[in-house]
Amino acid sequence: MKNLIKVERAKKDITQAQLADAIKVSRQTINAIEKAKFVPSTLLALKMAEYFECSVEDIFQLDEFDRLEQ
Amino acid sequence: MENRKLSLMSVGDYKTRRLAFLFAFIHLLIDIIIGVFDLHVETDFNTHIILHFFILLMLIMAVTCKERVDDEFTQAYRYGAYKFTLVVLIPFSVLGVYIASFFNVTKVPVILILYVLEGIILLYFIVYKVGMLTNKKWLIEERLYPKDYNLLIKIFFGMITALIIFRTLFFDLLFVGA
Repeated sequence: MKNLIKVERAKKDITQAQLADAIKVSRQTINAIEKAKFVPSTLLALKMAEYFECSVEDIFQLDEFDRLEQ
Repeated sequence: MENRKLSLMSVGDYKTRRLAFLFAFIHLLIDIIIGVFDLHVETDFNTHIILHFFILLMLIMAVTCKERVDDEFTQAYRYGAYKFTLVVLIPFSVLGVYIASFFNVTKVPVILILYVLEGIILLYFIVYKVGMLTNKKWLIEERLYPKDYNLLIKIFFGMITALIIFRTLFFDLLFVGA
């Protein structure tokens, strides 16, 4: 699953730590999600979408590998 | 809303963990000092065992504590490290029991059991911390080992089972009877 968290962060000009503080997770969690090493829960994805004022699909999208697995 | 399955293993506060490690370290230090300077006191109980029992308790307390920010990522790694430790522990336990039975070991010292338990807990903690700090993805995946290893695992357990059967049926006949 690919994500555009880095892009959204750049738009808002905030660091990983600031985003982590805002949605009450650790900076490591944000880093792992950004690098696509960890898939967040629906709850966390919704919190991120709310913070960035967009929909979950705007941030998280299925990649080719996910489609092939289906 | 939280994932209760993953939260099960986090009972204490992160400050409690520091305290638990400190107590475990103090007990270990006392044990080393007693051993090095031969300061044995006449008591009804074995000081060495009591000290290691407390170290074990403190380690259990330490590994069941929460992180400062205990989110789903941390919980996933904690659960992954727990699974990894079990995966490592089971074959080694089988091997240990087999070796013990092969050499006719009937009495296992209590201190050895305590050392093994302490080792397991430390292994779990190291895997958890290193995995989390280095973002090891395999640790939080559903399957801890690639599908290709399925055959190897079956062969390993098959060999152990065959050896135990061989030992049970033929060892006495071949070596003791001869």
